[in-house]
Amino acid sequence: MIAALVNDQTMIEAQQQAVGSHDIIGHGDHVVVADESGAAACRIVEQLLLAERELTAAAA
Amino acid sequence: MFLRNRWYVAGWTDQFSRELTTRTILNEPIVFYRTIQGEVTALADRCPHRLTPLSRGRLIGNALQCGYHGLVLNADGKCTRMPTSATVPEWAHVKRYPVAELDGYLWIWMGRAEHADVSLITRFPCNTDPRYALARSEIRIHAHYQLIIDNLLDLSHAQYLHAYSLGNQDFHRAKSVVTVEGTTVYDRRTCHNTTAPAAFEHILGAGKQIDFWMDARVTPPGEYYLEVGTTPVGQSRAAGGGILSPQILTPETATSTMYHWTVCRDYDLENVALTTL
Repeated sequence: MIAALVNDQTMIEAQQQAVGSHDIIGHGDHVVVADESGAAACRIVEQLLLAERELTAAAA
Repeated sequence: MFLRNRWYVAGWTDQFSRELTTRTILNEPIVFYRTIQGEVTALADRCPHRLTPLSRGRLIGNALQCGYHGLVLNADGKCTRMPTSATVPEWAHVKRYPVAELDGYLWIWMGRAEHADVSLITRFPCNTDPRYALARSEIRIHAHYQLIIDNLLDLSHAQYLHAYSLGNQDFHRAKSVVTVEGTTVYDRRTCHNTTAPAAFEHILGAGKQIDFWMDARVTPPGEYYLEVGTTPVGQSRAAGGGILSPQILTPETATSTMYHWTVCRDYDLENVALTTL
C-alpha cells in the first residue's frame, strides 16, 4: 500500500510541476481534464465555493 | 480558493498532546495543544503583538505564553496578561478554531465559528471498530488537492501505475459507473472473471478466477472512501472479502496537501505482515 501511494505521490507531483497554476477542470484557457467522476467532484467544489461567496456577500 | 465553511482533518487524535503542535491548513498557520483537562485547543499561530509564531512559546497550565515578549493567551485565544502593560488592549487576541475528535481524527472547522456543526462531519467508523485490523499513515503530496481527488476517482490508473500491486492487466474492462448524490460523487468499477491484483491475492488465494471491485466515494473538498474486494466469479460480494479505506485530504497550500489514509480489513486480523504491506 505504501509503495503504491509513493507511486501516486511521484506521478501527481510531476503532474503539478507540469500544469503549474492552471485550472484542473471547468474553466480557463488551459485545463487538466479530469474523467467524468473527477470532473463532477470539481464542479461540486465550484458550486460550493460560489455558495460560500454568496453567503459571505449576504453577511457583509 | 478553498472551501472555508467545512471540517478538515488536522491529524490523528493521538498526534495532539501537551506539546505545541503546528499545522498549516488552507494557508493558515495553526498551533494545537491539549489543556490539562485533555481538550484540544487550536489557535492561530501568530502572536497578536508582533506576529511571531506562538508555537515558539510555552504552555503555562491551559494558557500559552509567547516566547518573544511574554504575552499570555488563554485557551480561547484571548490575551490575559501583557507583562509590560497594566491593561490588556482590545486587539490582543487570536482566532480560536472549533475542533472535534471523531473516528480517530482531529477535525477542525476553517470557516465562521458560528456555522460549525459537528453533525456535518462525515463519519468513518471503521477507523476505530475493533472488528478491523487497521493500517494508517499520512504523507505530504506537493500538489493541489484536486489533482489528488482526480487520481483517486479515476482508478483506471491502477492497471498502469500500480501494475504489480493494486491493479491487474484486465482492469481496463471494468466500466466506470459514476453517480452523484447531493454533493457526493460515486465511482464504481467491477472487473469480472479475472485474477486478483497482487495486493489482494491473499483474500481468496493466488491464481483463482475472481470478480474484483473498486468502489470510490468522494465528498468534497477531500473526504474519500474506497472499498476494494474480490469474490469467486459470479458470486455475491459477501462470499468474498476486501478492505475499507478512508483517505482524507487536507489542503495546506495551493500546492501542498496532507493525505491521511487508513486501510481496514476484517480478515486475518493478527497478520502483521498484511498490516504493514
